[in-house]
Amino acid sequence: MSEVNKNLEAVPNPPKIKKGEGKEQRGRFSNVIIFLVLIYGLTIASMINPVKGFSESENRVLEGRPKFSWESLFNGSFISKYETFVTDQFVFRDTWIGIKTRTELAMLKKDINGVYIGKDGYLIEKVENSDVDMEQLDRNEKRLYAFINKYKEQLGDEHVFAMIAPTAFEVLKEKLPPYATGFDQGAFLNRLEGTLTNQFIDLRQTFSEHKDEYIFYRTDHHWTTLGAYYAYVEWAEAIGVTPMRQEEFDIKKIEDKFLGTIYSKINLELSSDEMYLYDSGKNYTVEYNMDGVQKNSLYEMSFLDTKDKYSVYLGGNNPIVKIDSENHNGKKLLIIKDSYAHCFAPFAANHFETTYMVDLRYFNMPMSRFIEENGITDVLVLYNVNGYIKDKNLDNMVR
Amino acid sequence: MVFSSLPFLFRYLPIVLILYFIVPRKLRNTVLFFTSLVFYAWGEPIYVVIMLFSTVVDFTHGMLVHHFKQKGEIKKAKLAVASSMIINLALLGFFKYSDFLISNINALTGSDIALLKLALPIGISFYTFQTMSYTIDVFRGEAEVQKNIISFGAYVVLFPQLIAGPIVQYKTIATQLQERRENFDQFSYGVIRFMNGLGKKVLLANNIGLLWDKISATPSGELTVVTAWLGITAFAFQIYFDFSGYSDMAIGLGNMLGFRFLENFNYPYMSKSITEFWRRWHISLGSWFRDYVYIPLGGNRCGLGKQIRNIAIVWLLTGIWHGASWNFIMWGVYFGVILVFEKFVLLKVLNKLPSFISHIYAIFLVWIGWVIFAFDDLSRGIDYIKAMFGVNTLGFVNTNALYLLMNYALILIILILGSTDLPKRLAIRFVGEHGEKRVTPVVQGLFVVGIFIISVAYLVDASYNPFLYFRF
Repeated sequence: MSEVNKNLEAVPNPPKIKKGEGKEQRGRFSNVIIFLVLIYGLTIASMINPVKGFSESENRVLEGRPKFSWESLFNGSFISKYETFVTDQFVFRDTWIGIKTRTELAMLKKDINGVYIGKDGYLIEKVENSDVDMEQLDRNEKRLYAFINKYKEQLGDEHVFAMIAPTAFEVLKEKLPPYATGFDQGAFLNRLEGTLTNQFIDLRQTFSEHKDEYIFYRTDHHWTTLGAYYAYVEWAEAIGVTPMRQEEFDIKKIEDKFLGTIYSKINLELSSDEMYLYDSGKNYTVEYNMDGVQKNSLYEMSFLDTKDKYSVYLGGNNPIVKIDSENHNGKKLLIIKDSYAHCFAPFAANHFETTYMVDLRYFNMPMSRFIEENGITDVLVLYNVNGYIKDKNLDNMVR
Repeated sequence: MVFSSLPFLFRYLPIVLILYFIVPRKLRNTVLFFTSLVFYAWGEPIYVVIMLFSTVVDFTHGMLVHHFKQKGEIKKAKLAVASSMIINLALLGFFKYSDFLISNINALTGSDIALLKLALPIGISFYTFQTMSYTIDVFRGEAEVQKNIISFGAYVVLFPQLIAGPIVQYKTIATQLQERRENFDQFSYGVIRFMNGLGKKVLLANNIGLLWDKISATPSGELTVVTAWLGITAFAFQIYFDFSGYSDMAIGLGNMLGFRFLENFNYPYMSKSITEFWRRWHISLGSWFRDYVYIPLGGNRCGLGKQIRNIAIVWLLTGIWHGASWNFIMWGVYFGVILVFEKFVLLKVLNKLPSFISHIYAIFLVWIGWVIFAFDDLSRGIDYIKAMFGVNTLGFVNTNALYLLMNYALILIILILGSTDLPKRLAIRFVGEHGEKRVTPVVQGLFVVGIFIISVAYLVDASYNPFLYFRF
């Protein structure tokens, strides 16, 4: 301590410029002007920028201007909301996020904002062990087991199945950057297979056979309609019906520039996707959320004009969707699901008089009551692995 | 409020600059005083009262000291200094250390005294040290008494250095408080300095901090040797670039407002001994302890025994200053012991060794120090150190370690080069010692625009922008 270097502390800043040598600092005007222009320009721009309620590209509600009260000031909530407000409503927000992504790529980062930058333009969700609440996962596994076993007894072995789909992270391993790791979907699916045995539909085999086909979107966390088709074939065989062949459908390309949910996390267009629908030529009536309005299409085409294009399939996330088909066989299917089911249900609906899709995140009725009241004959639990392991609403399944 | 945030850059700073330069010079301290209170109140609406209390108390004590000194009543002046120190230390002790004390008493005696669970007022360790320096400087005659409470208040709450230092001793800016002349050159230098700091914090520290957060959250037993070393390296760079980035921003803002603070960091990771490291790391804290503790205790002039005692006291205090937790005390003691050992034995040896060996020696000890520093829970720190040496790990390296290494390879190279004086030497090469070269406007302009744009992009998409000094 006693030897602290005096010279060092004496370093003045800025270092003194020796006058009279004819060597003046040249950059001073440019620094100051640029700095002031940037600061004031962006301040004014961000203040006059109209407040947006919803970010299409990020698919979330943005923080609005917080209401002032003395109480919220003193407990700190006003200020933290105000900070989020300034950040969320910052002018050119999407451009900034794109700049950040570009910088990260330039720094040779292999994952950005929880997204692996994979080969061939594949953006793959990164789910790490630390992102997974292991107790929640354990509960979710037990609930699935309890549910399937209960209804296997009640409805019969061929009528009750669980299909937890591996995602691109598991199926398209070779597209991942070298050494990429994450939550081990394989081990999880092995456990499900062990406990649910024949009631579990393992898609890994069929997906690995078709992994070179376009079964996952590059920029979205869902499977493509083709991926859903292969899942449908597996499931149809399990329930003992003959799946429709691809040739029986009129396959229509409905979109050739789809930028999905994973794209939104990085806001940089490295690739884009195409969307297809498989038209069977049959008629259906669809009713959303028991609102009494009968629609005669499985597709809500207006979503193609929005950012949330995947909602074309059965209108996106709804608490409950009812599909009636021309097939009057008296069979009623309940799909307890996340959004992976939206492009799957159109295939399944052909084999049932009525198909219900229930999303437990938004639908609060105990499944036992629902199954009883609606005379359900068949049940399918359809989630993707990443959705299933984190879901916090599965207690309704066993209530 | 913190500098590296959109509300600071695009609400607070533009308004403050306008107010500051629009008012006549006489009123500038007043503007600084009130805007700084807003800056502080932004995150701590209630604790602003403590700041005001501190200001009034130390202002009065300064007057008292001055008054008694003029009348030649040195004893009474001493009492006033003591009273000021007691109040400041009581404030610091109450808010920062009472829960630590209570939990230790509980642990020792089995009692069950309830914790106070007070939120630590941000920056309290910095501003109490600053205000103590004032009364002492006045007593020692190293600074004139400040008769204007607003000017004094402006010193206490001066927003550039308020929450994360540097610890500005009163005597350093006593005259500047009255007679500073803001000028274009200095403002321009301040801009460059601020951008430098912003980039260090937002682009480098935050980025590598993500890696440390990930690795430090890994349960012990699931690390590999490579992961453990990578992790603590990440932490070492995070804290350096974060802290020195803050100091750069503080110095830069100070310059924009016409102040000259002293340097706080001087490429600490280039050190070849721990003694050297502590001359280069958080210089303002080291100087404070030297000027107000070590030297008053007799420094090295009272024989070997006392010198070692003085070093021990200083390092115990340095440790505990960093946070109310045993690991910080351990951290201080750790460096105290090494410094004594270096002083009497090792320094002579180190000087004779090839410089890369003494460099490795210093980095190795600093890195181990950071493990002690980083884990509140000593047993986790020990587990982590064990992992660095292959005890209870998954092996030397695994896939995940390789992934992290690849993912951060370029950033690590930038950080290593950035913690040396290479960038500075390059800058001088480009723009000249005093920015006199013809290309200076282009180079500096690009630097400002580049750092600023990219930093703002990171702040807009800020999932991770921690403030590391909540404990200080």
